[in-house]
Amino acid sequence: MIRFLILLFCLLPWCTCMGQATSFQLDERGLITYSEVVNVEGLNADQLVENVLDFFENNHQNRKRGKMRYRKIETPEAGLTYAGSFILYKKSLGKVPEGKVSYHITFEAKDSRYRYIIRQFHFIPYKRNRYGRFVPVRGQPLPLESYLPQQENTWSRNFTFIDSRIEHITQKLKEQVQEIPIASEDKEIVKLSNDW
Amino acid sequence: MKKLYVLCVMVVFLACNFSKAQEDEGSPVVFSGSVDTYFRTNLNAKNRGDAVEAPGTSFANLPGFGLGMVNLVASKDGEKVGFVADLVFGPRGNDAVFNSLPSVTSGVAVNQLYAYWNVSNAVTLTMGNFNTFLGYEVISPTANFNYSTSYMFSYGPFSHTGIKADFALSDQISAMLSVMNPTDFTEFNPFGSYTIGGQLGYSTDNGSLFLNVLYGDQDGSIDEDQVGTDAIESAGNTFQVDVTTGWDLSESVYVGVNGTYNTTSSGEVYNPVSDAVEDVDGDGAGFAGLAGYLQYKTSDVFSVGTRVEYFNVFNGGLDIIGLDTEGDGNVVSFTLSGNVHVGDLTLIPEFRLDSTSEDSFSNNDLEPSSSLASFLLAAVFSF
Repeated sequence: MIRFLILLFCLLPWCTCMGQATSFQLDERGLITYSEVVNVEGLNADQLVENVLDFFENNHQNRKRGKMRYRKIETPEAGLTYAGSFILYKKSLGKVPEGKVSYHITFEAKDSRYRYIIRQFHFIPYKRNRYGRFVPVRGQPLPLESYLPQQENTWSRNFTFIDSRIEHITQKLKEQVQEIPIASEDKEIVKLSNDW
Repeated sequence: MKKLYVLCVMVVFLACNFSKAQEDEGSPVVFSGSVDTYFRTNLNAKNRGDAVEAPGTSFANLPGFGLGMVNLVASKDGEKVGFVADLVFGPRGNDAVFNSLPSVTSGVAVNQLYAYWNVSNAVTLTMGNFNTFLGYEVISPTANFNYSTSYMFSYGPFSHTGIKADFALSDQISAMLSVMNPTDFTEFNPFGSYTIGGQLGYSTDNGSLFLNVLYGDQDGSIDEDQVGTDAIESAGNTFQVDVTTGWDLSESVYVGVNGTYNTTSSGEVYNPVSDAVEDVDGDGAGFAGLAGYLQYKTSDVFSVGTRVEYFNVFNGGLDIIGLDTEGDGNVVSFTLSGNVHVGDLTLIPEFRLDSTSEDSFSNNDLEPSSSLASFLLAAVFSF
């Protein structure tokens, strides 16, 4: 009986967590926006940019899995902006993709501080094609903001997951950006001579 | 109490695994599938006994409450490589893999089983058994708007086994080349002949257009070392060209068109008198068809759509409808379907009318008839 109660106690936070609604911050255009100014002592703007490029170019979660799917946005006004995405899965017995969430990260650096802005979230649903593979459905992705009215019901779980996913990404970005590069030490050169 | 404890442990285990899976960024093995079942009745023909009628198309052609299939799909869509293992159980599944005898007799049928390699961003190689690239409709009921199927789908290929190379020539233009077993011989090649296939595709956010071709000997050639005392016939090469297109005209209106032409040349015959294999003279036989699909989405819950198909058989190419003395005949089929979405369940009420150039059915008085009206209600659940 005690073990059962312990189990129930362990289960309770998970159940509670699943039901939590997420409150997103919106910018002046009504777009879901994650933004923060982070102070980093001891790194100048160039070093911060170098670090964030390393974040975008490499898999920030696990290097063994290869490169993340970040794509540089090549527009004059975009600055250092990359497009990223992750998959949403249906709540089901199996693990079935529901669709893909895409977003833009903009990074701006000054000496000893930087700012990231994550917005322009879009969602494109997936469906199984004739070959049994899950692919995006035809049509333009919808802005994630259009799903906000469903935040309290059908999309509650998805928004909770999106929030946690972005939190995870920003956490990894911060860790990567504040890495102080290790100065390369002058190694002693082995000199071979005939006089040995 | 112990059972309750075990149950709780399992629940926690599943919950932990599920939430862990959500956190995992690598591509997982995805398990999905569908279940479908239906009720079908003829409106102007018998629904029981030997005279029970149905359109000469695949699936959904049994009287009363009938079963479709259980479809279980495991897949992994990796960045470089992946696989799809697609199993089917039930009448629809057995019909879909009718030439895969070992699987069908074992009760578990492999609908698709392939692995692929994204060689580069532009080239993907796939080897194994995959559903056909020809045509508009597919085997899975979750991807068709109408539950019953068209004649072109029913008598075109269902599946192929072989190797194919897909090329993304640009964001919008694609191409595919393949070498395959004879069509629908998906578990092995019993004839030693191979079929080649090709596809050119144009896709945008609003729709797509595909030109498909297939060419090859579907039953091999006569092996003179293995002939007996009887005459043996072997058909010639089969050629099929198919155009499939579909476009969103607006957020609620969709139109699709499928056209196909299939012909098989006369081939050869073993003549036991002369003890020789001789070419057979004569024109090719086959079929051609054209179908239009129009769908209107009234809300997220309900859509209505129609399929109008003209299907022509020439030179006795198929024995599925009444043919004239020259072996020609045609059928016009009209299908009106609704799609009612209740979560992952789709209910499909459907009315269908098939009208043939020659008598092909029998009516309620068991007299020959050239038309058949039927109604069905299908339930398709996807997961």
